[in-house]
Amino acid sequence: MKQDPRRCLALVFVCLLAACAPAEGPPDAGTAAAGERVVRMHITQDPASLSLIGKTDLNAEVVGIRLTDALVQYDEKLVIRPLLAKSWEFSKSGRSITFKLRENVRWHDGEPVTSADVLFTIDKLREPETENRTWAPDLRKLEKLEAPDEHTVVATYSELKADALEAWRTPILPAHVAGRDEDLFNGEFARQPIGCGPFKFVHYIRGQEIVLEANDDYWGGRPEIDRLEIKIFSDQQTAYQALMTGDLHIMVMSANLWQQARESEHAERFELTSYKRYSAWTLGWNQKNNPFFGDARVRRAMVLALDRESFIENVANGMAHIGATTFPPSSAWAAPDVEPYGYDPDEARHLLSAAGWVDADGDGVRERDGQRLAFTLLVPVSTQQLTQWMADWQQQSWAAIGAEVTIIQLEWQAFRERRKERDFHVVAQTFHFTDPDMYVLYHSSEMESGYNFWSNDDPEIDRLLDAVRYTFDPDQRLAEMHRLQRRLHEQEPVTALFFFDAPLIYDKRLQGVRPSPLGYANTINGPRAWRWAEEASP
Amino acid sequence: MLRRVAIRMATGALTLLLVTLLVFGLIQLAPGSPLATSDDGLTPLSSADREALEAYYGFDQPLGVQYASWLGKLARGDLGTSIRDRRPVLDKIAERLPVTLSLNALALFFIVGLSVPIGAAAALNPGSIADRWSATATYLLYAIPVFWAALLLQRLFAVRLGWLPLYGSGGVTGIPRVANMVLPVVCLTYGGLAYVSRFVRTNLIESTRMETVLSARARGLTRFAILVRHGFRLAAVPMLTLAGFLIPALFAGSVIVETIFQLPGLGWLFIEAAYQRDIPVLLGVTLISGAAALAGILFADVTYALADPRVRRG
Repeated sequence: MKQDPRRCLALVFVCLLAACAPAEGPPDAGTAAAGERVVRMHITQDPASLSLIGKTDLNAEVVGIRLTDALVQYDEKLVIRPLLAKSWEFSKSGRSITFKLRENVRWHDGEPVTSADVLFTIDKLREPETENRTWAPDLRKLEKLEAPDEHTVVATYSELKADALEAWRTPILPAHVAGRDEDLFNGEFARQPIGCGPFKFVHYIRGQEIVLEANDDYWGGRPEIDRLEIKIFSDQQTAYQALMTGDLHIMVMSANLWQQARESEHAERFELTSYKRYSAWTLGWNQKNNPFFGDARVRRAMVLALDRESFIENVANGMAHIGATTFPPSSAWAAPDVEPYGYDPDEARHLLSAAGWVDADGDGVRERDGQRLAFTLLVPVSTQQLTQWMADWQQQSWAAIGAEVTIIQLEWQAFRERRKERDFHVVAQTFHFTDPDMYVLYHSSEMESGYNFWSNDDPEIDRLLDAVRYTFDPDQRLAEMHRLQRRLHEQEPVTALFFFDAPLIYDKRLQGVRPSPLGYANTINGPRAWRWAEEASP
Repeated sequence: MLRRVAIRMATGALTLLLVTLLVFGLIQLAPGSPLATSDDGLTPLSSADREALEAYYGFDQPLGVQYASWLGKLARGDLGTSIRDRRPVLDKIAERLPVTLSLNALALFFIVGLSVPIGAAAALNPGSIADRWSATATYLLYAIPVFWAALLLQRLFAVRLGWLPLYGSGGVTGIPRVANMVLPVVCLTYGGLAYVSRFVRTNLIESTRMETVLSARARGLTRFAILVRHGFRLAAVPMLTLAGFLIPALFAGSVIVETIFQLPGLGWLFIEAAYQRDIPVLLGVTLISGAAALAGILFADVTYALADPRVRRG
């Protein structure tokens, strides 16, 4: 028995060795054949499902838009363009849209694409189990969907919005394949998805990559590249390193990393650029549960106290634009005559005094009727240092005009909960816009349960929101939008502090990259239009 | 001996259940719901849709019923279904377990394998230059945060020199390639060296003060010979215990390492599930990692008993 401990140790040792023995798996399927033109891009997370419509998020959208076509799609300027639908028409009654489908479009298995596929997809999309949040909410008011013939689809709504076409960006699924699955979400189709898009599915390794190849028979012409590898990187730093080693060819990153890339020895290999996003860093002023922000003068004073230009220059690497309202300044919707509030602390102090907030006891904080001008700023925790810097900067700027601010920083889900309960004074957050319909943010009907967390209740704003939502004539609609912006600017229910640019970096030899406000891969072209410069060997 | 093991396993199983109950309770207390999307677009869920989904996932049941039904499934060997992608939790864990197991086993091997010689060298001449320098060096390593070390190692070996892969497991199967494991294992190992090598040193010094060792010295054996013949044998017992306790600590460390190196292991799965409030996955990973930790402690106990006759008989 004396030998036992040693024998035991030896056993442990053998087990350990066995555990770390190299595995000779099948050859790495990620390696491209010689001469293939491959581009590697990335997403941040495994899609919940490869069913193309199940629980979609931005990551799933990037994959879906490559594999299959929708009836319509955005171009780089976010103008809706025909795709599977070659044309469409709004009915005179103003309640239905008739789509004419392109003929001779085939699925990757050779079967023709027909109106039956559209009907199947929309049916599936609207099942609650599909959990589609990208397009299904916009189709709630869809009453009836009919297919009079193989290439015509008629959609009848109980209420038709001017932005109704947007929901038709939903990817169309082949009914003859996807319809066979009992469970679309994790069925056979989701394992081997088939579409009619410019790329075909090759394979998917969870947590690692989704690989697609060019569809030689794409109706709109074969993509220039042969293979698109979509890598999964949840960690931005690692993705950045992968870019440096050539394992990745294109990515959007934080301004800090972008700066770092520009100063690195690899800089000459890359195109360093940025594009304007329709994403605003906003401040929402709660008009209901406090004595401060029910008064538009106080809201404006807070904005006037912020030196946004110097913040952009000194902290944000120049990669942001000041917003006048939540309508993106770089968009076609922006009213040219609505100018952002400048930096004017004296005017801010004056406005606060006029609203009755005066520092009578000289402690540096204003008060009114014994109530100090002391409030909280609710901020979501972010991995981006910038979020923290912005909160600190606001706190200091507001202290300078006699307000005492406490910052409450909460983890994302906890933050959402507080915001939903309307339990805040000022809330900071990012909003992404794809269309000019900002009904949910400001309409009084959204005060209880919608996104109008700030309890904005203004009949004039309500009227203009309705007008934007239901005016179909483009010129007239734009005029209503401009009116809305003027009113929003006066009332300042939500302040669009900054519209941040997205720092984009990609391999210099990669051509045809045309980012849109939605990103470099979420529009009609994207990877389909990419190509490698002559003699480039990625 | 067998009875001891049986009792330990039973209490271990009970502990595990309590841990899952605790995790279940904590998730319920945490704000946010698994149904909330992570995006901040402007399309909130309608209340009818929300109710349909809550019924679909069983969130409309009372909490006690939800936990009991999880336990019921567990008894049948079913860990439930992930809320994120609706795949069986068991499948998700099974495809990620090999990465975490090999990462931790390698790290444990290298921590023990390196710490024993370092500790022994230090114990040979306590207070000597070797002793002091090994202490300084290992404590310095201990003080380096993992995320920073990982970044530097990535820059040097993957980006600049191109010797080692930057990320990922490299294979299409669950089991990672050796080259892909080098940097993660280094990151998981270096921090443990200080603690374990000091532990080895202390135990060796203590054991060499025992009477058997004194008599050995009196017989004229060299310090080195004494260390090899007597010291290690006497110090083996506490060292084994320590190795058992290292397993839970390593597992915690592998969460960070897996995320940085994008190794599809249990740690990464756990982080994702926590962000998404994916309760079944969180419970499943807790159960599996908790079982591994308890197995480590049990292993330490048993080897302890095998190595030390007094414990075996007692």
